[in-house]
Amino acid sequence: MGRYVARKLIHMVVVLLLVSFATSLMLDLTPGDPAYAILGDQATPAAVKSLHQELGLDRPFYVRYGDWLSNLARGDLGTSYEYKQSVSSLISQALPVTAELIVLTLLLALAIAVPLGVYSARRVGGIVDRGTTFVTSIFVSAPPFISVPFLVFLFVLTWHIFPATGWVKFGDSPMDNLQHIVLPVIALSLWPVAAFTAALRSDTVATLQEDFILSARAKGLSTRSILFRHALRPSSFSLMTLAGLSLGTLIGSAVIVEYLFALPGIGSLIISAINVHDIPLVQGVVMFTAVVYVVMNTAVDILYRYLDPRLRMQKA
Amino acid sequence: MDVTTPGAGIETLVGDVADTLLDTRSRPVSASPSDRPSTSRIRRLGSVGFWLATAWLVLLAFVAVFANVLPLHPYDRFVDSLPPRASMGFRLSEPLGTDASGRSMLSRLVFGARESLLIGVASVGISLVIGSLIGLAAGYLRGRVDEVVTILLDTILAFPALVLLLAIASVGARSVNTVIAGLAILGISPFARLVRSTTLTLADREFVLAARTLGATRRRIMFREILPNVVPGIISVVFLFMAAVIVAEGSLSFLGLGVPPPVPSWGGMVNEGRQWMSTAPQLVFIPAGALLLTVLSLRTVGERIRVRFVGGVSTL
Amino acid sequence: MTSTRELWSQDIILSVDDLSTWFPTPFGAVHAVDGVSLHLASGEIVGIVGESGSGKSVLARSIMKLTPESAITRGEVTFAGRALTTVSPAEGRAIWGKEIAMIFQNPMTSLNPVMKIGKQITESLKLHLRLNTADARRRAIELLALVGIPEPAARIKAYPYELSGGMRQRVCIAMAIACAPRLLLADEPTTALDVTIQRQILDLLADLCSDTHMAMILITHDLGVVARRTDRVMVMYGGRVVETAPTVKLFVRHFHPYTAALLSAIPRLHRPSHTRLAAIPGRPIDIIDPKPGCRFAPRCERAQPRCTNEDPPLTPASDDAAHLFACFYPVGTSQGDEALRANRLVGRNAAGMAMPVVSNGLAEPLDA
Repeated sequence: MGRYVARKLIHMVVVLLLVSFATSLMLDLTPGDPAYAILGDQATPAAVKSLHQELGLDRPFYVRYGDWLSNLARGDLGTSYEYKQSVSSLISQALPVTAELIVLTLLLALAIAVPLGVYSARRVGGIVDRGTTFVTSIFVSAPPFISVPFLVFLFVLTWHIFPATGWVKFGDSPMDNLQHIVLPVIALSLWPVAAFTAALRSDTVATLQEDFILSARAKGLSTRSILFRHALRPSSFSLMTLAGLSLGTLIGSAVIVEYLFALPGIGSLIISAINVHDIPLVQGVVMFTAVVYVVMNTAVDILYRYLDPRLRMQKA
Repeated sequence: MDVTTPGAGIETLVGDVADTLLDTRSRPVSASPSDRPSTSRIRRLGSVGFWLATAWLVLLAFVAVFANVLPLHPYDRFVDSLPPRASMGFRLSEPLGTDASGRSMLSRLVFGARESLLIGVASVGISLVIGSLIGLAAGYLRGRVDEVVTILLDTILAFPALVLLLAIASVGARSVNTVIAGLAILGISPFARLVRSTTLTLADREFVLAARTLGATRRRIMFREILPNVVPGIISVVFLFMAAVIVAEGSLSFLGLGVPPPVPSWGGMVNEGRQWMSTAPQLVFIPAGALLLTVLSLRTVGERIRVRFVGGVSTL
Repeated sequence: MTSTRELWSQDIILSVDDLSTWFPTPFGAVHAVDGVSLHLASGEIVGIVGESGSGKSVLARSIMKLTPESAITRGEVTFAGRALTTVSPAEGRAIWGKEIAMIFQNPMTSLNPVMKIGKQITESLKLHLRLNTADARRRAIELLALVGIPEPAARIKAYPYELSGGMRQRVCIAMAIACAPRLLLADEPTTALDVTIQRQILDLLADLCSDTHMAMILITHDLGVVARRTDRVMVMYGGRVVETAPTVKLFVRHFHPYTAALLSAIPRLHRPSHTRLAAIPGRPIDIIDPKPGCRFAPRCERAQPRCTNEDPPLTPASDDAAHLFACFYPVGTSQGDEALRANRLVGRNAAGMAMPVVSNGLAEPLDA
């Protein structure tokens, strides 16, 4: 176990180093001079040159990469060209929005997927199963840029239930905050609802073949308590793993949802950074999401290994 | 699969596919093919769905290939007989009406389909070939090659897919080729991982050992013995992957980083129509519906092929 | 143990009449249970014996309504005056676990692996007896002590994987008897266990029956298991009852060739070691869309043309109304001996099974 964890961690560090290098290299190759992006198109060559010196852009790539990496080790991600603020403070301002969005999405997705998955497994090929498969296959086929206009059309333009865009901090007004986040959460949860349902369904189908389900039925338990008290826990293993892994995926997925609803989260930050060629900001945000993503996946891998009941049984 | 980002699609795809291949679990007890009327009616409906999906894809491929020959109004000219944002109607010409600036919706939809399919086929083709070769080599040669390949693949996968795609799109010139390249790079990892894991299981099978004992060269074993056995598992993935790629392309175009105008793309059409949502929602719903149908069809067909070739529980 | 004669006068707690269960498959219907009748008095222990596929487990599950949804069941099952075949699911749940309980073959898989054993016992106590948590816990500890689990107070917090197979089967028994059922269905309760543990478990079950006046159906493929612990034995083959008699009588005298074959397959201590155990030739028949005729005919050394196209009815022996069998050419009768001799002379039975040719047809009897 210890060796496994160590190997995973080394792997993780190597991957992250490669990620940082690839990100820096890629941005270095970006056409367009950031100096013009900052100073405007009419900038004089002298001004551009002095800005290059100021930003260190006149030094070779590997020197800048080395600097960036050593600053990164100290938690310094550099300063945004556009906002003239430190990248880390911009990230920490945007993070709560994205975090709230993703946590609520995961909760909603689990709340919907657990009953759907369990009841679909109860009768494979039955009405509930087929219906669920149909609905969830539409969910997975509708990316946010498709589903959001549809949701907006229904909830905002037709029924006037929720505001279309914008953001209110939870601390300022919890009700307004929730009002603004409902639609983004629904849009973002379509994919996890479908994926979680499918995972839980196939595991539950397998569990329901087990002898202990038969002995639970012989005890006279109701179908509901057999499904939820006996079958759910032994079947929720892949679901939990998937939920852990999807946290990383959802960070990526949040980009478009945030953009569409004008939520000031990580996704909006990266899109605006790309649009204005704000290289330190792009680099910092990409690196940040990659770190979250990789660390999360590694943690789930290790946890999976630790929680695997077969391994636990072998130990006993 | 992917609802949210191209990435979600691609990442989940890997999971999906891995499940398929690793699924040694008991098949669901399809409560014996008894002749319960409800079940068979639903099953027949399922198969109707498959044929509808196939029909839609064939139609789409047909109009895409013959777009230049079909009697369509040029996609970049205004329709003189109709005002901008004309709604759908039973007209002989332009039954889908006109877009925000008065161009033919039908023509833009068809040429958008051509762009989507072209990008899909090209990028999936590239990632399929490169990914398969890498996966085959890593899985069969193992050792150092495998280690290096694994870490490089993990590096690509470490980026949330849409973030990586945005970065690539912002680095490259805005053109179809950049989009294809970005999607192809994203696709390499999943295909390579899939082929690698299949190869690993095949490499120790008797027929491979037999070939090795007979003195077959590595190359011969990889391409003549292992590759043909990897193909069935990949076919269905190609369809599922096409779906993910079309979603990704749509997302990119939607954000204005995809195919450059005036060439139409479905994602771009959704974005252009968005501001007319309250007065002319068809501007959004027509391209969105076409994309949804296409993705759903690709998934339905891919799923069917997967159940046919690989068997096992159909997850989504 | 009460003698059978007394039991006849007592009230019948379970009666099964002409019960059939079949499973539709793409290849035809599998008739797992085919017209079985069975009557059980309180406190009585009946053994059902047969090899795998004889329908004995499906019979028990049909009584418990635990068959898959695709299965079709016909016939009457009456428990304490209530028709079980027509009870609603809700009424059924008030009977299963409370008045009729079941123990399964494999204790390794019939306990929920992620639930503490205490909770698995208390859940039926809470459900059926409406005990509160503390009382249910106390009762669970008593039950574990009753089935012979050491340190029961500590063990209720254990997960199944922390217990041995024998201990787990004891937990299953404790679970089954938690609500003091009037009938216990034990489906091969000892097959998965070591021989020494088998004996302890069987003794435990027999004691529970005599202490609480609980009736039991003990399903097994091993005639040796039923020998000392049952009042009556029912031998099943191909989904049908081929012979049934009070246990003591069956071991003295039997009529059906299949019973004879089963008995000769029991290892006996008085035989010299390395005696070859008689194997039953052929394999259990497929019971997909069966045609009329004795199910055992294809493997029976006595089978005559009549056996292959006519169902032998279950009839009482001429001198004993409690001993029933379904055979046209029974063991130990002149017709039976004649049929065996005739088949041995030609070296095959009427169903085409090859057998060693014996010139005078008078080899030693099958069940010597």
